[in-house]
Amino acid sequence: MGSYSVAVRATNVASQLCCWELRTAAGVPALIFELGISIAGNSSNQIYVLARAPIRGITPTSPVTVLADDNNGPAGNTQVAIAWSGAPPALVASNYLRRLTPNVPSGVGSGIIWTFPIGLLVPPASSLALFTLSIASALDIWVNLDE
Amino acid sequence: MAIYSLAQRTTNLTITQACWELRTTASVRAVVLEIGFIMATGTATSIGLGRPAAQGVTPVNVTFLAEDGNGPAGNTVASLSWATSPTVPANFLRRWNGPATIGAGIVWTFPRGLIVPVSSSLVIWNITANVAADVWCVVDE
Repeated sequence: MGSYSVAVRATNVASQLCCWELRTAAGVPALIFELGISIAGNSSNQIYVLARAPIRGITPTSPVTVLADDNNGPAGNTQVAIAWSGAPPALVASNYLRRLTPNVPSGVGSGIIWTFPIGLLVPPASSLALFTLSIASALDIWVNLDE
Repeated sequence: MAIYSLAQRTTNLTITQACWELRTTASVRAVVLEIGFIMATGTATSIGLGRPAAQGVTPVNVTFLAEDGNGPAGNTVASLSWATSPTVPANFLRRWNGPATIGAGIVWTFPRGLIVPVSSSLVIWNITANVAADVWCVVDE
């Protein structure tokens, strides 16, 4: 196994939608150790939740493959997406892994780094997603994982 | 291997340019364990951490300092300016947004190490117009 990271700017600001999806490849699970969020906008009442998407997004637009932390290591398999030409991942109505209400003190620069010391396992060919429960803003999100 | 650190105040505030570049030598790679970025000016900013498509040319290098004062001199260097700036990473490893607040910042840790191979670079990139900031980095080499 190797360590991989990637950071992207999520731009979906609509409520009740997915703004970021981590997608594992067939046959390659991902073990997440860190997930960081840095808010880029001052929208009020932002709420984000992290959950396993019961239905993956359809036709992600330009998904980005995770980058090896050892630049001489093999290429990654897991990808992240922030847009979909088909349906986004299905919204999870309850039972989240993490929640974030970053509106304190306000918007830009707020954020969180969630760590998973023994790893959060995402099985092969499945998704972990960040959803907006209320109005969102653009945000930077990074992930560090083993695969 | 031994631990080395270096802290600097960035000066290049130009959008879509690097403000800091870690550079390895031709024979010694660096394993990055921590990078800190603290804003010194109250202007909102956005930064990214990544591997540049091309290294900066003619850097003004400062060598990392041994955390063991009796240890050998470091090899890894960092630069804040160049005759030709590094070029933008294709994708970033980390990103962060800073509020318009002096003292805001981020400390990224890499408990298992972020490896910078020999003769290559890692940069902090000004995604938006940046501010002067204090940057420190801890490496094992």
